[in-house]
Amino acid sequence: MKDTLLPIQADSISKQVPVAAGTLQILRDIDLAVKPAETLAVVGASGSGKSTLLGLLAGLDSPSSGRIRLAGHDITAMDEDQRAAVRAAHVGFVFQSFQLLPNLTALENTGLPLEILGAADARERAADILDRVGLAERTGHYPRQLSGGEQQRVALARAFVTRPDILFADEPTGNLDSENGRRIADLLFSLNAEHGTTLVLVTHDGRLAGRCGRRVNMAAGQLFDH
Amino acid sequence: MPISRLLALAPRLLWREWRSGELTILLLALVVAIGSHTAIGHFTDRISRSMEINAHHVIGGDLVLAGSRPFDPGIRAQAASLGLEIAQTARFVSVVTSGDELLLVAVKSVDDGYPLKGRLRVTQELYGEEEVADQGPPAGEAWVESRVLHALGIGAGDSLQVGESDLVVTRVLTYEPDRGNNFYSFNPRVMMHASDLDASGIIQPGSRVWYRDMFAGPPEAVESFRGWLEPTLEPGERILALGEDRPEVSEALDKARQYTGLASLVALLLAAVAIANSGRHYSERHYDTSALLRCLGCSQNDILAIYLFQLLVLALAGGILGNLAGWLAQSGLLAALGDLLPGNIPGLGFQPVLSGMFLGFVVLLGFTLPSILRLRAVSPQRVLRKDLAPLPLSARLVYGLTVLLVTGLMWMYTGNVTLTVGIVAGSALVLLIAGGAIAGLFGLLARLLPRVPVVIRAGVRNFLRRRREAVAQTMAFGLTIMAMLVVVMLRTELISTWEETIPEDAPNHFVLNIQQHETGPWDDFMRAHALPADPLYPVVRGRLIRVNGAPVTEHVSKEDRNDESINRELNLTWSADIPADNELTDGRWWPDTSTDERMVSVEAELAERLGISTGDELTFFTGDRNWSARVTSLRTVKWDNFNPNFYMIFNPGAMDDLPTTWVGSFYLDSAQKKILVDMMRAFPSITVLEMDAILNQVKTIIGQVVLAVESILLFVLLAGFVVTLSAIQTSMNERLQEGALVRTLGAGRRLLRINQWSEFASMGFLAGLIGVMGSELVIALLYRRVFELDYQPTWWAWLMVPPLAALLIGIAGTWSSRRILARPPITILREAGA
Ligand SMILES: Nc1ncnc2c1ncn2[C@@H]1O[C@H](COP(=O)(O)OP(=O)(O)O)[C@@H](O)[C@H]1O
Ligand SMILES: [Mg+2]
Repeated sequence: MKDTLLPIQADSISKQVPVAAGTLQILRDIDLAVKPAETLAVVGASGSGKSTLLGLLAGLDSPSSGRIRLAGHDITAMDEDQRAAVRAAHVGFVFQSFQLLPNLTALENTGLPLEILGAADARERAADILDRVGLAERTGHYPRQLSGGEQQRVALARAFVTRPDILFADEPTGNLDSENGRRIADLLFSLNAEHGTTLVLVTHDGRLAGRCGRRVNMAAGQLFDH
Repeated sequence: MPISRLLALAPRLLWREWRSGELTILLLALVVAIGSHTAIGHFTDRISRSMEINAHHVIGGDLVLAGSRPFDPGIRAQAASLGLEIAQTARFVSVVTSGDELLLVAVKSVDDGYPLKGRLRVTQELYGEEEVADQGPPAGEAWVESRVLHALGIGAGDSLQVGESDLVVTRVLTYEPDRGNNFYSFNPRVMMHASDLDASGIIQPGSRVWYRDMFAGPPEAVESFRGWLEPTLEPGERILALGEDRPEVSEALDKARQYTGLASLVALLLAAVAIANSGRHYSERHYDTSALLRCLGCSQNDILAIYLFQLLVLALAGGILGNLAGWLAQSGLLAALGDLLPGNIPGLGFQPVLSGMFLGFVVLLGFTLPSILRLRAVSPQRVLRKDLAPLPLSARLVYGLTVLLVTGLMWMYTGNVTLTVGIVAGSALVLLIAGGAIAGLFGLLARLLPRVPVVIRAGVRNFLRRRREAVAQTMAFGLTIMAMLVVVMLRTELISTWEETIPEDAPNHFVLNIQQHETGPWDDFMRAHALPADPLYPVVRGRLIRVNGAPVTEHVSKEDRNDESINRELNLTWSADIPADNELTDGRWWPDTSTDERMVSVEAELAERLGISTGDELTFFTGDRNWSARVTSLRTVKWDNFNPNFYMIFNPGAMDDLPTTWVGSFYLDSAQKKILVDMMRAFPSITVLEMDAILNQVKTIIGQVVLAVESILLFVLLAGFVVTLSAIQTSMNERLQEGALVRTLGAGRRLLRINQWSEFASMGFLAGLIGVMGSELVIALLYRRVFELDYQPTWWAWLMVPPLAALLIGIAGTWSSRRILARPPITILREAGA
């Protein structure tokens, strides 16, 4: 009963993929539980399997074995489309490479998740949150007209605009210089605090990880508590 | 996602997409595909309907019934009940008299309905001002050809007797739309009204009369009449097919129709290549978008629905714009051609509009659906791992589907299986060979790289590095070039064939009955009037009466018993050599020149009709005696070359003891017509056939056909241009990024430009080679199987096309890539990264 209240719960999940020379074991028998409003950092070297884990937790892919509950739903028992519905309702993303749509303005990129949810006030809410991330002047600009830091701020605005229960961030500062990286991190954590969002953050940057409430280490596809 | 939400989201995404300009090439390709299709459709529909109208003039009606006995009145009643217009003619050979003069003439009696198609042209007096007449002569009058007046020594206003009727000559006949190709109806025309026919009492039981009933009306009515008529035909009655009288016109029409079919197909194919190209590019650009939308909560079906919606809107927009463009293009064309076209161009048909819209959907969906389906399969993980491209649809499935689609489209639009299979098989073969050849060439090029001049080495290396993309692009260019070459070469060949059919100064007057002693003075006369003197041919008149001793009428089937060739005197000639454009189909040309035996070469079709084969003995009747000859060969004759042609040619010396006259031909333009008066005075016994009016009619029709063919080429070239553009455009992003990077790494603009240039040029050169190879293959096939032309390899193409393609694609590519050089690398890199 208590389990169902956890935003994220993973029970002994593994992931292997077929490659040219047999199968590659990317994740091995991982257990993980994240509490509401908790901020969790997954730290590890590049290639250790962090992004794969994040993708599985967020329901972007299914594990080879094990069970994952996301926002109270057993997403391992769902098909892709059902998982998509869960994502739309509960989850926000921030990616290392921003992932803004090049043909949409900052405002349109920000409002897109709301449009997918069918919100009537998508524009206003998108404009509000862009204002909150300090881009009120840049709403009509296209991603290519924005700097990397500005693009990632749009991505943050897009992630929070739906007030998600859970936010997944994969190396959100990985593509930025340290100054911009620090600013994005500040913004991420303050937005997170404002919205009381559960955060799962993947990074190889110890300092960024240090700002999270809890840290786990990933190495060779396995999790070790800090 | 609920439908309502999709319907709100999809248009918004489409609009944003459109705003970015990324869809422009796709839409352009679509508009060109549909536009060229509908333009060609409208244009050929209207021109060919107009050509057919003109062509129907030459047989006199939409449907013509011919026979040797008056037709059952029930036939006319049935036609009338179907609302058809009707005209009736009867033709026979008879003697007319005026004073003491006698003349053998070809009489034609016509009713008030005549002519149904086209109009008669007449003059008030010899060589006077020409005017048109909507009807034939009224009762009591006769309209005659000029040579009747010459022969009888009378003028307009005088009278002549046909049988027991006295008719006043009121007009000189210069043009009869349904005169036909019968050069051998040597007797001059006298036209009279049907009501005078009975009064003349000239038709007796046993007289040879050729009746024609002509019908005209709406196509459905004509068709249902034909359906009713065909089963009721009696022996000796037949329905005249268009082209029986004017083979050169119907042949030109047929070929033009096939050519337009081919050309519109090529335009379609080119545009399809462009659409497939842009479609693939479109879906590749959307991998990231799809992945992101999935992260944001769109289901696979939502993705599919969104892109399908976009495609449908594009197809609809392309359909409407394409139709509009097609309509504009063809009206512009018709307007520009103006005077060259007949005044009676029919209105727009609706069929091309419908098929254009349909085409938009089929082509766009057919060529992009495979790519779109892949979008649906993009893993949302792609936002985390770039390399997660969706599993490709089975290549065999995609290519199989594409080939099926293309073949279906071709077949649908040409209705010609040979053409379709020929092109598909030809293209497939070429692609196969070319694919292998390119792979080989790449290998070779890679090995040669160290020896390539340093300046272009980087470009060549570039080309090699993007091997797969480059192969696909080179093939696309190659196909484009091949398709355009086929269309261009075929056009050149067809037009020159047609123009050879009727050269500008083709003889348009024929002269008969030059006596032996007049041949010298004839040459003098021609020289004195500065007319080119074509050689004269000897002619002996004779009627074929027996084949192998049996009367010829017993030798032929009942239907052929009325064949005009056995019921009148034929023109027989002798010649040492076979005429240039005749071809032997059986036997040998004068196998034995040492004997005294008479030998004859017979025209192949006549031989077939009369059941004559080599070795048979033919007996002819000339003047007062019978004489025989052995058939030593059969040969085909090109009747459409406007030279004197002969069914029967004998060996030299075979007819030395028979009465011989000479025939010839010459060219007169309309201003020189009065020379004919002097000519008739100088050679009273000759007969001059004036073919200029008919020749002009044929020239007009051929001219229209040529024009149609030329205009269609325009659309094909346009389609080819769009393909090239789309192919270059789709590789541009990558090139931009690469170029910027290279520049950041310190490469100068000059070097970069040389790189681009050598890359595009080498691609163009290879594509040119593929194109020439393919076009030779397809053309060799098409010429033999469809167009009945002689195929010869076009050496110039092998020499010219590859360098030319290298130049053009080099220029086009470098021009499109000028952005790489024009803007600071940093801007490009940042945009490309976004
Ligand atoms: N679909 C896949 N196919 C093959 N290899 C994969 C796939 N997904 C991940 N990997 C491999 O698994 C390892 C972990 O990848 P990833 O989770 O992206 O690591 P991280 O994010 O920690 O850098 C890498 O070596 C990667 O190449
Ligand atoms: Mg990673």
